[in-house]
Amino acid sequence: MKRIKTVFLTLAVFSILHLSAAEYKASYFGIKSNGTTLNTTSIQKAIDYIHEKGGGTLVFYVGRYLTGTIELKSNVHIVLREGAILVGSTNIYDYNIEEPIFMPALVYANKASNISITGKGVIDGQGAEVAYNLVDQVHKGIVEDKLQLDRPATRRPGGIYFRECNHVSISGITIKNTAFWVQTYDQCENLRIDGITVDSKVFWNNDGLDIVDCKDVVVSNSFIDASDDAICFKSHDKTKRCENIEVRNCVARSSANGIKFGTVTSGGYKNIRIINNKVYDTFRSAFTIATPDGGKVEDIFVDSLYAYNTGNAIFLRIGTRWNKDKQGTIDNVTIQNMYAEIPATKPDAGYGYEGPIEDLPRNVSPAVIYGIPGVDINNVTLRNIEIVYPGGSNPNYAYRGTKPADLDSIPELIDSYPEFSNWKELPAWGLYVRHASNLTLENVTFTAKEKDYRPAVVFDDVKGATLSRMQYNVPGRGKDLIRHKSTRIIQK
Amino acid sequence: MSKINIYFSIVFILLATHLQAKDYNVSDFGAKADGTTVNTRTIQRAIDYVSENGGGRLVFQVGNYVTGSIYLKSNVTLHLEPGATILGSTNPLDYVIDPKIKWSSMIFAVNQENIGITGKGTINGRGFTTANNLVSLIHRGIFEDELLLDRPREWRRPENIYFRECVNVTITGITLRDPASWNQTYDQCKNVYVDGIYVDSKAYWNNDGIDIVDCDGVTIKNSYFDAADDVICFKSHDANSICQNVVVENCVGRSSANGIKFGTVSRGGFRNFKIKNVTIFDTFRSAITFAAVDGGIIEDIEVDSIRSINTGNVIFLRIGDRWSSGKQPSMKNVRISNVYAEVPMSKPDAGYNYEGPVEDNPRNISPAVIFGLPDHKIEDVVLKNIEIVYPGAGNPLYAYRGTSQTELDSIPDMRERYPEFSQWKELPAWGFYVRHADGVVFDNVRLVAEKKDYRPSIVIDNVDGATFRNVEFIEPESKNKKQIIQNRSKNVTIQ
Repeated sequence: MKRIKTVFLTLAVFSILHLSAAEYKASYFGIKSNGTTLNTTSIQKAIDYIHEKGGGTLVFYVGRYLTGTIELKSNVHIVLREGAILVGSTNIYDYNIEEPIFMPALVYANKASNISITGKGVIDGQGAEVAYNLVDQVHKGIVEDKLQLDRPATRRPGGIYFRECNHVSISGITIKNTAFWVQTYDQCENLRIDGITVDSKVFWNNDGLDIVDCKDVVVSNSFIDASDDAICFKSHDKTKRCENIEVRNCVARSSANGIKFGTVTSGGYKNIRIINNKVYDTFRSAFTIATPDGGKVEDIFVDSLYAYNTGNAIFLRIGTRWNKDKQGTIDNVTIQNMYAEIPATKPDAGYGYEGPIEDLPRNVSPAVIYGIPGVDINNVTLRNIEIVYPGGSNPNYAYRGTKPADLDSIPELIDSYPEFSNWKELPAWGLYVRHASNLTLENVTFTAKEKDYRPAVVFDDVKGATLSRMQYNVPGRGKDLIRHKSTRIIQK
Repeated sequence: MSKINIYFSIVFILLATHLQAKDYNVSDFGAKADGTTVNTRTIQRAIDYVSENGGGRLVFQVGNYVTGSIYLKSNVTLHLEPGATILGSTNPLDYVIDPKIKWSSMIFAVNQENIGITGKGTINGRGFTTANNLVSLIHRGIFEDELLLDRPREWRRPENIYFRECVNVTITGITLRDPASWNQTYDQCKNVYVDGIYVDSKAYWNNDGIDIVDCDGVTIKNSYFDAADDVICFKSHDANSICQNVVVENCVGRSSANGIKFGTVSRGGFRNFKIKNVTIFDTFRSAITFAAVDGGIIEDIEVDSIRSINTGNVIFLRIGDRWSSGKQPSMKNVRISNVYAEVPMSKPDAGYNYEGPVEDNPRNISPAVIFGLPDHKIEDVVLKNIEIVYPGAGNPLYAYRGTSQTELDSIPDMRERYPEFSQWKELPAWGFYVRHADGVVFDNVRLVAEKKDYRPSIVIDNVDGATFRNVEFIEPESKNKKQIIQNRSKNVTIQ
């Protein structure tokens, strides 16, 4: 009897779901799949119509659907079937460049709820052409832009920008080639991103995924190849923060950072779990937490992170870039079960938009945990970690000694844009920690393939650290740990 | 000294003109002339830019530029080089319905000044496809529309041009083709100059050639119109406005409706018109229609040198009482001279895609009609140097309207009807029928019927003051036939 009830209940639920998901074919609205007809107005009409009818699914079958900015509305679900490509117009004026909320985008939503983009289809921003057409308009004086390094500072559309939306699902699709950040979810709640592919290396600032001040987010099973940060958390609003987020089973390639918190960190991040992800070919760090704008970072848990061919493994940093009156904090960060390999060469060589050629000299940098004087990075645990370095640093090329005067001479650079390479040469090859408290290193292995003139680890102004089961593998065996102005350092 | 002054001012004016007419290529803004790219936003950005930077010409070089609705802005002229075509998008969703005008168009201008469209290029609305795409969307329920006779309402179908409350409008040289509704409307504009344009538009219902609504100061000259609906049409939508100070000259019009028309909507009225040297042919309805049926006035109208070939009717002057809502309609001081016209036996617009309706017959060929109302008589009409050739052959067994007083009195006034010369079906004359008019002068008028007609040539009814001077009737087998019949009329002079 009970079972029968369950069956009926299930049937009832299914039929309700079915009723609520009225399905509309794109062609029904005169939307053309020929790749040349600009469908902006037709797609928008379809969305508005479905929205006004109480919601449903707008299905795109195989074909190329050219469009400018479209705004997704509540209860409208876009399905891109396999072979369906939503193609961004190459004309900059087809986007909401004049009065966007924060940034223009191909697919836009504001204060919508229960929206999704799913299926095996593609969103192709044609961002290189869009960006170059914009540059052309700026060169002609038609559009005003500072155009630093010939890159327009504004008006470049992203692929997706959703603002203050809830119950958002993005799954299965491929998003490629945008002129700016690929996809941004800003102050959204209940966001689910699953099984997507990002392939976007066509212009500057091609972040793969930006989660800004969002709550209750799961990102899973996705592949991201982006010329800027791959998976990126930001906090633009000092009254908001990113909260309750899990990133699981993702693979990321990036010519910047693999997984990054920041740069803009006004509010902060709380309760973020980064589980079982892989990062490779990153010019900057595999994992970065930066809070240079006053944001509070707490309860960050990273487990099973594999990083190959990455310029830097871990970079945790407090700064005071914008909010001089409010200092950011980093508290309770656990990174465990991590394996990272750092190459001697440039890890993002061959990218269309490579990271900048640095104003050297520096030898290969260590992992960096760097607070600011008076504000320690607190309660960081590194457990079961191996980082493999090339070693082979050359003191005749760049040199930072470990005498107290040498260590004190390292500049704080608290208002610099945070990068692991800010300080050029650092005095350790494995890990450099400054202004931190309650640090735990447990079963951490630092391997250098060649002899390095520097020690493996330098602590400067560390108040309380426990090191256990440490391994330092380096040919010719140099010094393992230099302590400077540090207290309560316990080595087991 | 004053000569030098004049030279200086000429040089200055030339310089000023030169400075004003800065040219911008639309392709510099990224507009594509490939016939497929929808350039709406690009062209709009270009117009905005030119307007914001002091004005100039936005030049379209040879090619096909697809666009949806755009808004022309002050001091901008769209200049279409020979071979440049602005193609209307065939997607009805690429057009907007202007919130103020409550009408759809490809090129809008609202409250702008010093604007124009010039050059030897073309604007092609592709209205047939657009209209049918719209019908298809309506059938699917994406738009709601009552869809009368499967036609979407006029205001939802885009025109080529709709300018509202603009000052100093110049339209020269261009070709206008095939919108989904009217071609071009200038509504409450001041100083409209139209010269040397070519309109070829038989794509869909309501393809008027040009519509001038409540404008002040209009010149239309040297233009050719071939349109499925009225050709040169003056309207008055606003009871507090008026169409006035208008010159039409050296134009040719073909139309499956009317040639030159005042109305139908005629709330405010029409004043001080000079219409000169105009040829009208192949028109299903009248070569000249002046209708004051919605409370508006018509006064001081001069029509000179009209050639009207193969037109269903030559002259139709009408006061009616359709949407007057208390206003007093009037028509006075209309002078029509130097007219040669031929009215055919057959349907004059046969072969048009959108022919005039097949009538609910019977009627024999209708005369020219001057038809006021008993309480609003048409005043002071002069018809001078006029020759109209009719087929004649009115057959009383087919349709019959006699000339006895009872029969003439029985003709209804039809005050509230949509005004058409054929609304009364059979009328009792073959040349002219005049009713409720004071002061009508026929001066050197020659009326020809090619075959004998059972009706007299002219019937006047309730006319106070009529002069027939040198009026000639040519009709076979009609010696001694009484060609002028009077009813309830006085002060009639036949010279």
